[in-house]
Amino acid sequence: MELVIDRLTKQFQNKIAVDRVSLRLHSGVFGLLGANGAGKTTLMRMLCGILQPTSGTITFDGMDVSEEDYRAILGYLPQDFGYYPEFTAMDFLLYMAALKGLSKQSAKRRANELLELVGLQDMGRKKIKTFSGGMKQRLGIAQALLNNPKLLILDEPTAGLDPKERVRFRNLIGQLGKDSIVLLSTHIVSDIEHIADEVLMMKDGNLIYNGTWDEQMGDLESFYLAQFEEGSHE
Amino acid sequence: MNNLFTMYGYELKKLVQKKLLWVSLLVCMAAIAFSILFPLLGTYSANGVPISTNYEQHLIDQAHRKALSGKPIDQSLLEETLAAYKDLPIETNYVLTEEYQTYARPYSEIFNLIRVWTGMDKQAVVQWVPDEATLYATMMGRFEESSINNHLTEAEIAYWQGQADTITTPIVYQFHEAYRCILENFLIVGFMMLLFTAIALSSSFPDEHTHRTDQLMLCTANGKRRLYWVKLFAGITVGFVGALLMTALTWLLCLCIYGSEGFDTSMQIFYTNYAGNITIGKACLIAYGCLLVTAFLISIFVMFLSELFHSSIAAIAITAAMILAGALVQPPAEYRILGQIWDYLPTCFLAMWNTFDIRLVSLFGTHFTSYQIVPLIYVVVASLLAFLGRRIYCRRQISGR
Repeated sequence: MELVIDRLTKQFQNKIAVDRVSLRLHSGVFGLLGANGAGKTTLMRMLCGILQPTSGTITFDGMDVSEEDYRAILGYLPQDFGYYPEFTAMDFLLYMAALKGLSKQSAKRRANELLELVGLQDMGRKKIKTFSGGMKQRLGIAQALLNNPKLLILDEPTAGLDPKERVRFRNLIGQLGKDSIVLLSTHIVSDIEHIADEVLMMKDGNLIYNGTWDEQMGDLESFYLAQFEEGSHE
Repeated sequence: MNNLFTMYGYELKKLVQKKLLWVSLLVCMAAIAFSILFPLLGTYSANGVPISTNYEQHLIDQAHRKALSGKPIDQSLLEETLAAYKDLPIETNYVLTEEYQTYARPYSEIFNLIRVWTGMDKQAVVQWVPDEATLYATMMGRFEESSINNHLTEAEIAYWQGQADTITTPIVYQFHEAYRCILENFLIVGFMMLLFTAIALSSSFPDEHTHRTDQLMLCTANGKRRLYWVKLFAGITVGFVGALLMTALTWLLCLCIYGSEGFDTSMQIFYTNYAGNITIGKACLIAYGCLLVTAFLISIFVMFLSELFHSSIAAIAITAAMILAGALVQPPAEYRILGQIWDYLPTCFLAMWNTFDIRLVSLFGTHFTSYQIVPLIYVVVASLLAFLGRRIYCRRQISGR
């Protein structure tokens, strides 16, 4: 399993949001760090095929990002997770399962499994508009996992979760990283420290760090903040 | 089927869960019902004096018309009619006189037909010496007059002449009030259908944008091409069912109030300047068939606009502007082709005079009437818009949030 990102660039008029990023990712959890506007979300959107790169390519095991087969192995939780307020949680998951190509039977089974996994098993018949922010976020995580994705992209997945839920979510991501490529972005450095196998750090559209991080290298948060400091002196 | 039916079910659910859809449908249905029932409501006044209710007057007229039903409009009926009207006072306010109520009123329907077929005013008809041959010759002459006013070509005039020659005279009068009611309300049903479709479907695509669910959909296996077609068909279903409900309500009310008699009545009894040899019942079926095809086009058109502009307001505004322009603007008759194209736009076509337009479209040496060719054009245009919309939808980019 290999995700290949080759000289990926996205330019919006005068601003280069992502600048010739190249990466090869294998199964594991990859933590993407970066300040606001560093290009994390733009990179993730391009990886999901919902934003066309200005140049460069993205392939997963030889499948191009524009192919339907690529989308079939993809799970995505956007930063600004959208939902249908009048749908129940179960309806929402069954609808997303249909979009992901799951059969009716496996969709139902998987939806029930995931509702239990994210602690919403009693809320399946409740309309999403009645959910708290944390519950919506958990539902978002559930929909991303419906098709057992080989490539899971999570944009700030722990936002809105309480500490208990965050711990549960970290454990879940750790499990998923054994068989899939999980790329998650967050501002919470401790999340990355706990679950990421590798750290990717972006600044001004460039990948400034790519590799493992261990305690001997010092405190990740201090290193991360130092990048901000440098940015503010520029 | 790659979950197409499941997706279709959920897309329909998204549309019908909107309160605005039900409110607009109810308002449109209420407006249609009111338009049909309005002539029967309220007080009937003559010379400013309330006499009875409109419903009572309707029952009287209905009885007179039923008494005339089945009679050919021949020399004998013309003479009876003129004899009944001969003692009518000259005064303008003759309605309450016994001469009118007892003798003339039972023949008022035939009297009015003579007026419109010949173009004479009331006084001229009263003094006219009834003659069946003159009546039908004048009626045919008025078809020709209408042809000239509409700048028809020689070939078109010959076509309509051929049609008129097949009309059997004397024309038989039949009680046909239900079909008259159905055709008289065609314009309002068409208007309501356009309004409902614009309101109900304008948010189908933009809602995904505003709810930010588009980014979830577009990165799923079925979320591009398949979902686009499913969304489109769900929208078409809503537009079509809305039009069907409005049609059903119109037919049901008219048939319940007036009965089903008169399906085979000659169209010339109702649409007096029309030379086509069709019955009024068939005309009703054609008109409402055209309405359903228009609902198909307008559903796709509204969804296309909403996807193009990513805005339901823009789709509603453009459709509303087109409805208003269709009602208020009419190109001068001398610009024949421009006028014809304008009248074939969906916002103009659903008027009876355009559905049964005497201007023809000539293709490969064959003449087609508007109700034959326009629905075909609509299907072609709708298909083009659908494919163009797919292109826009599949190329949608998620950025700048």
